[in-house]
Amino acid sequence: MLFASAATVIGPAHWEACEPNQDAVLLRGHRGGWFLAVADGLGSRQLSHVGSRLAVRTAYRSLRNGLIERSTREAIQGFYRDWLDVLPGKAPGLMATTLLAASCNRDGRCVIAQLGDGLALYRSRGGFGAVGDGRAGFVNETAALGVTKAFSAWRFAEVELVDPGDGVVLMTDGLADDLHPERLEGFARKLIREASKRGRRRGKRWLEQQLAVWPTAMHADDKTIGMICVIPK
Amino acid sequence: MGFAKYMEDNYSRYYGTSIVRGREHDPFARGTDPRKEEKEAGQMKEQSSKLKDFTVAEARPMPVIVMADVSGSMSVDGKIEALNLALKNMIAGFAAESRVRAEIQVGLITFGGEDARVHLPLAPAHRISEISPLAAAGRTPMGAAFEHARKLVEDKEMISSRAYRPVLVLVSDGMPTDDWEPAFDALCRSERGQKATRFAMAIGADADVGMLERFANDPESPVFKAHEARDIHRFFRAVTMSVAARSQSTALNNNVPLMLAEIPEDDDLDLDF
Repeated sequence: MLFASAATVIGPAHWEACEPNQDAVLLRGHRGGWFLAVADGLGSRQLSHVGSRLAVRTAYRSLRNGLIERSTREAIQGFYRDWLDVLPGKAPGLMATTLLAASCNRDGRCVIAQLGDGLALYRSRGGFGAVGDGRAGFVNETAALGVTKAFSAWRFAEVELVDPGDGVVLMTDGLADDLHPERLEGFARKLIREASKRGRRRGKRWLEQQLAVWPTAMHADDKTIGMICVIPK
Repeated sequence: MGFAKYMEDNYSRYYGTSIVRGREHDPFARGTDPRKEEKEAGQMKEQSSKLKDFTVAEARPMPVIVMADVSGSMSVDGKIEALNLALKNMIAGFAAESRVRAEIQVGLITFGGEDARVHLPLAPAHRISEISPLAAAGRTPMGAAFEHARKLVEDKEMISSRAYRPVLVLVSDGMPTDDWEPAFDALCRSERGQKATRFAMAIGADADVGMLERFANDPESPVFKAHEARDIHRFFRAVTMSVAARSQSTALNNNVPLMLAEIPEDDDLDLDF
């Protein structure tokens, strides 16, 4: 049986500056499966909190409109154009945002797409992996909607969630940049185990609590995380 | 649909995409006991993270790397003394900052004589107890300093990918005396070096302003020309303010220009005009 949960918490920097959370998250059931999207508006862009919210909503709408059935390039192009169309005004750079999305059908087939930083982790049939390459530059440097046009900047993966403990975890860089790279699998397993055993509402609260008491010193960034996983029936 | 799910869906729709706000603004929480809410908030604060084993405990670093000319010409007119004091004050200023959102680290590369050397390895400012004074002698091997700086910036063990964009500061009072251009180009074109913020100060009339202008890459912070020792102080105070302001901001990778006009002359009286 599939389980899903997600949470977002505004970072201390934006909280103290009375600025909005630039992260966004959307989690929806879809035909027996789940759709999850997280997005992180670029810190330096004035309206990126608008861009991130519209990105996750447009991504879900693309799924519902069957875009995912097309070729990957066509699907991304269609989604990107839809996002540009819904933006207020014609300044996509001001609303630039990263995007990570996972669509999992009722049989556990899961498609993951990522543009920009953040982390998409998956456990599948005893294997573990992360979508995309590690960060080469510095923190807060990233490809993004509204900035990056190249299709090659997107990263994809297709996995099957079959066994209990299999799952996909998406997170923005407010968390990803503070994780030990060699402990990512343990992190994903801990999250999936702790959130799923609590049920959906308490699992979300548990995730929010963990984001609120984030252990890294002087952490400032907004934090968003979501998961889709298999639990025993 | 049961009552609990109805309330959850209304809660979810109210907040749209799950923006979390303080409970005092939450209409669905009205009528609850404020003492109970305060207790829950206190419990949450006391609750320790269950994810400590997987997260890096240290704050994200913001490296500041200074390349300082210690050639023989710096020994006149109080220049090297001013530089020593300015560097000491800059490090103390970073260490004293309490509202920062990054750990400011400082490294110092000097070039004088026949080679450049790492005078102070990159370290958190609050852990630098003292810095041995710089002594001026010899020629101006600036190319060697660029090579040291490039290696440091590109070293992912020393400056991890968690770090914010580094700040490179170059101060010089003369012309380079080695083959500096290949090393300079390599630094400015390296994958990480090109992303660093670069400030420069020309000390005195003999400095290679043209080269320093090529080095400095912030259009709002052109090469600062120091004509006397106290100008050196002003420059480093501006660097301190710029880096501190950046480390307190919500966009820590954005440059904060050097606000030299806001640094009062040391001799000025404290007057509001």
